[in-house]
Amino acid sequence: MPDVTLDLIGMIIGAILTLMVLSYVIGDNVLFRVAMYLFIGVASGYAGAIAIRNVVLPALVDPLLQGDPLGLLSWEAMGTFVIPWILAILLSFKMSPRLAKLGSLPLAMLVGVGAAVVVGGGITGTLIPQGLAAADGLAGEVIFPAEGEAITIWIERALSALIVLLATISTLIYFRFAARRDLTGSTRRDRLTAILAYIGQIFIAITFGVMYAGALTAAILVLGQRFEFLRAVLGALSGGS
Amino acid sequence: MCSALNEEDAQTCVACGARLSPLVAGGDAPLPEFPQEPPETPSDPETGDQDDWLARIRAGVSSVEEPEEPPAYSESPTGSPEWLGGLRDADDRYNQGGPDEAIPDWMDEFIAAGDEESAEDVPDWLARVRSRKSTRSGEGEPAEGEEEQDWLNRLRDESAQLAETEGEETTEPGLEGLLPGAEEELDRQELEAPTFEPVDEVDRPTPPVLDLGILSDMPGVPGSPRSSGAPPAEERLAADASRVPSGGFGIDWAGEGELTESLEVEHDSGEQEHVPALVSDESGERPIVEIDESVLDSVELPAWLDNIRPLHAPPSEEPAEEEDASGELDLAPATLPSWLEAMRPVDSFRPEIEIESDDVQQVESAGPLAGLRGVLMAEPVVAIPRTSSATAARLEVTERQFAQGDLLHRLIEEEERESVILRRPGRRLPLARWLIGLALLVAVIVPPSINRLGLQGFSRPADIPREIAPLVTLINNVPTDRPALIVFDYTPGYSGELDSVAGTIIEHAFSRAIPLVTLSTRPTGPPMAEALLSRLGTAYAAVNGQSYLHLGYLAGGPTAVQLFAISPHDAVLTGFLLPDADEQAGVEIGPEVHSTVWEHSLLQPINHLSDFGMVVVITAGTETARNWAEQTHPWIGDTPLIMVLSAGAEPLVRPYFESTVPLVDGILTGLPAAVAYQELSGQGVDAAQRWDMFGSGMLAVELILLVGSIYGAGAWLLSLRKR
Repeated sequence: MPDVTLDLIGMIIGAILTLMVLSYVIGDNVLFRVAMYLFIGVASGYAGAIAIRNVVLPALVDPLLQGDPLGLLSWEAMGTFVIPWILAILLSFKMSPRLAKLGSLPLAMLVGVGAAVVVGGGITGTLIPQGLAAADGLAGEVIFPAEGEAITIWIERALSALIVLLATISTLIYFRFAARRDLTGSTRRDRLTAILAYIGQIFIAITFGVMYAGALTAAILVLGQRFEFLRAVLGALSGGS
Repeated sequence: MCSALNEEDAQTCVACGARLSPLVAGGDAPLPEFPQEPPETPSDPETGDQDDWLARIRAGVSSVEEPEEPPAYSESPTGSPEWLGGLRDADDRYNQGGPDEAIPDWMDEFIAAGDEESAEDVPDWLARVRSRKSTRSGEGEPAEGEEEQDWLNRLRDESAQLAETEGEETTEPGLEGLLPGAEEELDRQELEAPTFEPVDEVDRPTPPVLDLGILSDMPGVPGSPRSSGAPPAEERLAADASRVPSGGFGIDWAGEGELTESLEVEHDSGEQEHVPALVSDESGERPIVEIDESVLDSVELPAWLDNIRPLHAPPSEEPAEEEDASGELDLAPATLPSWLEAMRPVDSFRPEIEIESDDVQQVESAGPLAGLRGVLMAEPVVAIPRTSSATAARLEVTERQFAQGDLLHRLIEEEERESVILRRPGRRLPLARWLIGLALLVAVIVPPSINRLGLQGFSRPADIPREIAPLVTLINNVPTDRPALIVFDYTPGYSGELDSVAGTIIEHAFSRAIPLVTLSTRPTGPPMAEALLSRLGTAYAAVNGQSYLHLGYLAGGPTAVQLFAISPHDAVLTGFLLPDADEQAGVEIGPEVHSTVWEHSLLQPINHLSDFGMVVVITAGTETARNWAEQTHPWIGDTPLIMVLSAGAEPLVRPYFESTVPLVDGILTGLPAAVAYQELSGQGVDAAQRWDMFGSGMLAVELILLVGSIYGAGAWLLSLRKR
């Protein structure tokens, strides 16, 4: 009989919860739901505790307890302490339907700043670099073979550049939903656009297929890890390795 | 009537001479002797002639048409009544024939043709006319031009013959009284009058028509065109004599309208038994004599003529008012279109107020209508509720609308119908799910047992991805004097995969004694980081606070990532599971209690993101990987950014790695890449221990997919065969 430690208890609880989740193979059942509710609750509580411990206390409470009260009135403290306090108080008004309007200011600030950051990062970090990368497929050093380069390597590079270029253009055209309206009132793309959009649809399908295959391999790996864990728990309970 | 009082047995009025006792046609009573002249007819002060009301009308007509010409009858030396001469004169003006005693040449042919007509084809009346004509021509009284048959002569002769043959048998009461001596006078005037000679009296059957100008349009006037085709005037007068009102003077001209209408009906029917009217259609336009109403009104008309006026009044400017006055016109009811009939409000004109008599009506006491009787009260119209007109409207439904309505009705009926509760089909066992689950369980459980039995598992991947070698080289070049940032941005659900993949890099870093600093944008990230590092660090004697440190949770998503990239000290204020200062005293961390994580010795060289030796982002989501790549590239500098990804996130992150200007310097995805990394870096077999299990599981999945595809294809073929 092994020594009952907190680690062992934790492993046993983990194994039980693992079995409860795996019971979904039989069908939707109470054990599976209880495990799900438990995970959701624990994750939410843990996230709240982490937020209070790592964000609220260091930013809003510790300066009051440890800092100089007069120092909180300085210009530096205005941006790092007073304003966050005001915004936090205003945001807390969202809990009251009557005072919810007062919480719109910090919420708008959060949304606006977040959108600006995401859009700016997307333009400078994704759109322009990816556009340049797609355009580089037409560069001379990519299209034409270098001196002493094997023909097979050059063909592979050229085909890769061509495929990347075709995939980029066709995928973008697929998401172009503008079309002319014919006499019957229905919209229809012109032939060239329809062909390119169909090719783009194929590339998108390939991409999603690869993502699904990756998720499947990840699930198989997670399943194996869980069975390794169960085997480890059984070994711990049996006193073995 | 003069309304004078007379004795009861008086036959005529002592004042006006009008007959008071009725005449009986065919009776024994002798014909009354009407006075030759009206007893109290006022004399014309200007002419001195005998005044008559008809003369005044004629004078009015002549004054309107030709005021400068004196009346022709005034110059007649004959003793005929003045009013009849006026009528003749007016008729001459209407007659637009050729000049007097001048027959055009083209009429000769008609005249000759008329002479050649056989006696059988000639009607009786024309034969009589011709006989009289020959008699008169034999007498040699008229000239050659006068021998042209004058219709008035024929009228006279015909009237004389009729009077001789039928005078004794048919009583003509009132005729002599109405026109005393008029016939003889008319004949004499027409014979002597040189100004009127119809040009077609021979060639055409001459009707005994007396065109009297204005009065010719009056129905019942002898000789009027409207009575063309009617019996001779004497006959009609005799027939109408029976309708002469008792005590009245003259003929009931209003009653004559009925006769005229009957005659018109006969004429319209085409049964022309009589002589057609002299006024032929060739005359075309007849001058319209306009009579001033004021002149007519100023004339004193006899009482019996008043009855004529409204009946024979010309079409007035306001026919609608006359129709309203008559009240009872035989008009066909108007036919409204069906759609208009449906829209017509029924009670729009429904009388709400009954008009009371004047005695009952109240006198208005206030307002601008004060003192008036019979003022309509507004209250009954406005305040009293009544049936809405909208309810009276009927909806016309077409067949299509009816069909649609019927369909809607059936749909509603089906909705209202109680649905039969079907018995729940028997619960089917999820055999397919069980079989798949069982296959996967066997696939992941059996390989470790096989290894224990000494059997060889799946071979390691022969083809190493080309990005693995550069990644190993990159990790080997990371400086050891600066900590490496490891970002744990994945949930516990992916720990089974990512712990194995990321563990290879962490072990490599531990093997090179690279200090590690963990961070997470997820609340569950720091404890998972602690679990992995503590587990892997045991082999390398790595402990928290010495070999690695946890910065903890970074709240704020992409904004916090950017803030951390710009100023890490402002983004993260406290750490996670920081070691106690007392416990760290022996390892030269510092004697004082660290108020923030940035005061730790491992983080002393770190002021910016670029100060880290490398940044490794372990994530299962493409969104998190893109955020780190987009938000950190302006401030990361030369610090390599490495992505450890789940297999499902690789396709969307790889472009950042394979770009011409890559934002990601290294990428490690999936267990095969991790196994290859371990083999290249010469580390342990942590990832390789799961390779056989992973391989058997993937084999099971492939078999399941193959079996499922075969089953689907077979089912499809069977369905085709059934069709």
